Amino acid sequence: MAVIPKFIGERIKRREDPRLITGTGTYVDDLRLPGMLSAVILRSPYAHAKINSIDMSKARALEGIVAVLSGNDLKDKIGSVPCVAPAEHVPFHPVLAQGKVRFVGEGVAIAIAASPYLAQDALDLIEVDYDALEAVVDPEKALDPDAPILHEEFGDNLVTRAAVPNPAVDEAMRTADKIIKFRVMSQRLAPIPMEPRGAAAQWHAGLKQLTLWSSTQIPHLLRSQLAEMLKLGENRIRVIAPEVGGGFGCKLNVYAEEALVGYLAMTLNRPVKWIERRRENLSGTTHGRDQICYLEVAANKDGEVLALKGKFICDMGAYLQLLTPAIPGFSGLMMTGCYKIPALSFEQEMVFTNKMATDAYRGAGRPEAAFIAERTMDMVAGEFGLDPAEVRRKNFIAKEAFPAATAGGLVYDSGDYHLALNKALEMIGYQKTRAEQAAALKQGRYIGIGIASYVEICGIGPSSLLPPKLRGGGWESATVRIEPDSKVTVLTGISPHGQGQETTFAQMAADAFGVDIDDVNVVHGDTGLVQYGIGTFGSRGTTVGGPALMMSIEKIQDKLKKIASTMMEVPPDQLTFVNRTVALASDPAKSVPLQQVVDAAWGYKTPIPGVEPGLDATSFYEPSNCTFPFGTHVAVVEVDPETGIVKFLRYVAVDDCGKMISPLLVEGQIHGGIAQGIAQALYEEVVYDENGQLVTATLMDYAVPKAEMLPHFELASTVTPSPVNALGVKGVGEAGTIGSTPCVVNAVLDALKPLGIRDLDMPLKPERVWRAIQNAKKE
Amino acid sequence: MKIAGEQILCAPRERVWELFNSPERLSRLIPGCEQLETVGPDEYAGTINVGVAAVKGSYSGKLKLEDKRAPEHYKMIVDAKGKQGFVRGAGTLDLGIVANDANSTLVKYAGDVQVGGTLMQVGQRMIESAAKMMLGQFFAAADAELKAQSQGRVARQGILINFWRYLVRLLRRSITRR
Amino acid sequence: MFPASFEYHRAASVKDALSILQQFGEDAKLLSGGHSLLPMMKLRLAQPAHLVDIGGIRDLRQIKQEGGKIVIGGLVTHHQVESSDLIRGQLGLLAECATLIGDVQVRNRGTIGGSLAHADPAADYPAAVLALEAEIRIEGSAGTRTVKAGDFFVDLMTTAIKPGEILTQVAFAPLGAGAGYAYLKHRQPASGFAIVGVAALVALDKSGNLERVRVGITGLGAKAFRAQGVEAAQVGKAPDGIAAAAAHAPDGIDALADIHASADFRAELARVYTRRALERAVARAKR
Repeated sequence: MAVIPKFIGERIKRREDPRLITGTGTYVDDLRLPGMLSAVILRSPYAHAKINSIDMSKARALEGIVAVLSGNDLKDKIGSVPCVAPAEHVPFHPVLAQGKVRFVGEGVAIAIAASPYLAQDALDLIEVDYDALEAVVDPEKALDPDAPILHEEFGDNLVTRAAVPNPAVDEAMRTADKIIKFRVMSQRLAPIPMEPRGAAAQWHAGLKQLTLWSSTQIPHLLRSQLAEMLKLGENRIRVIAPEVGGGFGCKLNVYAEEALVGYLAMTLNRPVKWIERRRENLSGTTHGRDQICYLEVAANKDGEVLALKGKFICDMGAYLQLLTPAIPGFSGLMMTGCYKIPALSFEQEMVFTNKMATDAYRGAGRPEAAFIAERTMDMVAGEFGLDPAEVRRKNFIAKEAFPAATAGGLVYDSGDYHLALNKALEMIGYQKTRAEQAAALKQGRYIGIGIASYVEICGIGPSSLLPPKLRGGGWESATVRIEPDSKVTVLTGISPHGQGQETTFAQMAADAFGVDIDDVNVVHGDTGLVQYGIGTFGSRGTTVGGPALMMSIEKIQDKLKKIASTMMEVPPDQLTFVNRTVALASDPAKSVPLQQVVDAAWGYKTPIPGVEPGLDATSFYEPSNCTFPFGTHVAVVEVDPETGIVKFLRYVAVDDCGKMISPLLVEGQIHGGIAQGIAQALYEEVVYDENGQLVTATLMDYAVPKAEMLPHFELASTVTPSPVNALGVKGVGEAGTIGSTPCVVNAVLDALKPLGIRDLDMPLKPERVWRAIQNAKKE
Repeated sequence: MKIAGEQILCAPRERVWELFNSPERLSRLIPGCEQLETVGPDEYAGTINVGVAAVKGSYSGKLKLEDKRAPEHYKMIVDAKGKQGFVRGAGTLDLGIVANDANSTLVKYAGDVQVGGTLMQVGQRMIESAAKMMLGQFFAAADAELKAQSQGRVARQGILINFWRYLVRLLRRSITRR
Repeated sequence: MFPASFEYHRAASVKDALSILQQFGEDAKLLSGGHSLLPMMKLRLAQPAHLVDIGGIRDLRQIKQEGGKIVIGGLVTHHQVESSDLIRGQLGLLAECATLIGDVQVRNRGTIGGSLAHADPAADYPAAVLALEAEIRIEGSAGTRTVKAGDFFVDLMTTAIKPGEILTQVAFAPLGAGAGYAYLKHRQPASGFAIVGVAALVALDKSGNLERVRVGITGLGAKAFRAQGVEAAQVGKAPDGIAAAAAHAPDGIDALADIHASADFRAELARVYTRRALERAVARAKR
């Protein structure tokens, strides 16, 4: 009999991929239910306008139109789109605008027909009488006394203020050799999942049961919020996240359209589907970042950083989505990065503007924080003429100091920042590259070396970190079932949408029970099948979902061992699982087939004292802390001074995400993360004009990175296990995004240093770089 | 979007002023203009049926003139809407004399125009240059009208390349590949 | 993104297409690669009542040699151009230009006739077609005519094609031995269009001076153009004057501006890419 290998740690191709790349996955838009209707939404062309009237008579009269509704028709029928994060001012957020529109793309009316074409015909017949109002676009002007107010009931455009004062910061500012001041901006970005959003609903009138399919990262949390919006019991709603084509945080949310299709399915008693178009995706799906930080750095001549003081202005957009005002907090708490900076204080001002809401986007707060920390290190190095690598070494938290309490009040679990930096510099050949840079400069070539050592907070986490209004905490759940034929079913509470836990978790379960990976089926994303879970975001899938899975695996293992021990007459703790048998660990030849043990559990012909029938265990894992993956990225770039084009010469990334279950998937996550992070540094930017018109409303103008725009990634890893969980894993979903952005910006600015250019805002588009060079030459 | 420029028209200032105050004459010059009717003192409402190239659509809006100082200045407020977007804005028109040429008028214009909806969302890349070109076309037509008038005949509709043709083209260009 | 309803016609021949165009007039639109028209229809900016698909007219898909010229049918895709041995061998500038258009999907669908008829100010082909002094054949119910590239591009997205006419082919004289060429572009990061694209074609005389210089520039202004100032400054001169000549590239052009590049940056890119394209062309040329 062939020996079944071990799978953990092996480079296994994603088991999801064959169906995804052969078109046999089922996305929301692939659903075809009998009698299904299509919904299409009319959206505001204005950033800010009063709605005087909406004439839907012609639209409703169109043959074949089932319904046409506006916000007023839904008053008191559907609750507010929820924001669970605490804030001083949380406005009512209607599913369709009521009385006023507050951003371009806000839903105004919805038409339902047998086809989206017909529904669109109806939308063309709706007459909306708007009175345009002045729009607030610049978040730094949102609180000006004469700024137009989005939500009149609050009297101004303030969402909330947060402050973490610290007298030690002022003290450090007094004693430091130098206070370096600069402005750090993380521009607004669009997450752009390959599959836009989509939702479909079916009402089973007899059962009083609503089924909602949604392209979401959080089926259970969505169910809880929908129950409230639609005034249904949670036990009357089944949410299914079918194949989900990427999320990057924008599907960690609850949207108007999900409630709308649910409501329509119930009231029309027909299945209803809404599929987001790309232009809707760019204007009406949450954006990310959009934070400005005025930073003061207290530093000594030897490069030691004594304190950071930040004043943030955070653009929340027109309404608050699920976690909108919670994101900036991570930027503040993590802004000391990998460094033992003793004092930190910050203030955050979050404001309403006439734009789409911001919310989580890959990294959610940590890319902003890492950008602040890593620009700080380079600014300090530049100020005192020090090597940026040395400044980092000087300030790193030492390996021996873990678990390390930070100025932000967090406790980093484990780390070896010197190791990652040294490895990255060794790979790049740091001294040699510096010499090449100097030689190139003599020939008029501008080469730059950028370093970013990052640490991020992952695996959220202890439930206390999540807002109380979010049903569900920071824990995760898993059920493991060995079916009567001894195949293994894993039901996970996370909701992977590209992360690959159908592979990772199958590796874990296969090894645990000594079965083949193909014997394991990982089920997720269906509240009708899976116990309540929290979902996939913040690099928590394996970090929190993995330990939950291990808990259930161990419960089943214990049960199997108990049964086998009665069969084999050996103590259970001497048994192990290999090659589809339960075997004596010291002598695997002594074994019983796994199937025989499973038969005993399910058949239960011979009751075993203290053992229930069946092989099914559910566990909920509450982590004691977050995890803190880290790493160092190094980029070598060349700037063409005539065109401002940035060309990559090298890109090295050393990432430490603790132990790796699936190294190939870890690499994939890092590749994608670096691509998105580089895109923030060089290409991407959501642009609203001065009147609040979205001018990057199509992919003809919003620059998603293509392969040809990216370097070859040279990857390596260090492994510092997390003590937080028994798997030693830390999470890797966002790491690449967090390390790459400051690394590339530092590289470009390093190249421009001989010209006296100290700082530039992202994205470092050719024109911006070129103009900076022209201005520098004039001076 | 800020627009500013100047243009010399071949007619005395009073005649130019007359033209720019005649909804009837302006409506004849704008192809597809179904009506430009007076709805109040210095306030006009109009509808344009666009049927150029592949695009068809109806656009309606209001034009209001303020701060009138004949024959040299007025302020213009425009608010037009269609299914494909809207144009709102305010501008000033100043008619100046040309030194040593009583038969020419210097037209200075400046405005701040807001374009929104699909037009702006898919057409940002062309809006400004298209606006420049549209103004050029408009003045060419006005000049032709004034010359024709001085020769005692009325310029026929369709002299100028339609305003909408440019909008349509800019949209096509901005949303499509080759 | 749901087009309004329309009637679909599939033309079997140019004659067939012309008669459908005549029948429906302004209500009909030609469909070639569809990269221009279909997105506009999906946004309902265009709502033609009749769509005339000329994709099935096989005659227009051919690349052939005819009377000493290389003749490319209007439906020839960018991919066909970039991969044709004949074009790569004798019309390298056009092949090089085609390889830089859009991405693989665009090159597989987009056609030379569609691109030229659309006359996007940032399209790549017009620069090369101008530098190569191509001749464009236009067929209508009233007859067939040939328009020189220099007369073809009239204005912003406006060409010499009149309503009811079809661009059927583009004819090129082969480059000839020893000619040097280059097409270089500054790519718009989202769309792949040329923020500025420069096609340069040179021939050297025996002493190494530039005997012939042609420069086509796209992306800078409302339509692609020949940089006559550059050409005039360089003809008959040694290549060391290229930098000075290239400085004339944006002369007299009202440069476009958008969120990706301002007018003055575009003008500077025109100078830089003109110099680089000429330098590369000279380096490839043989005396």
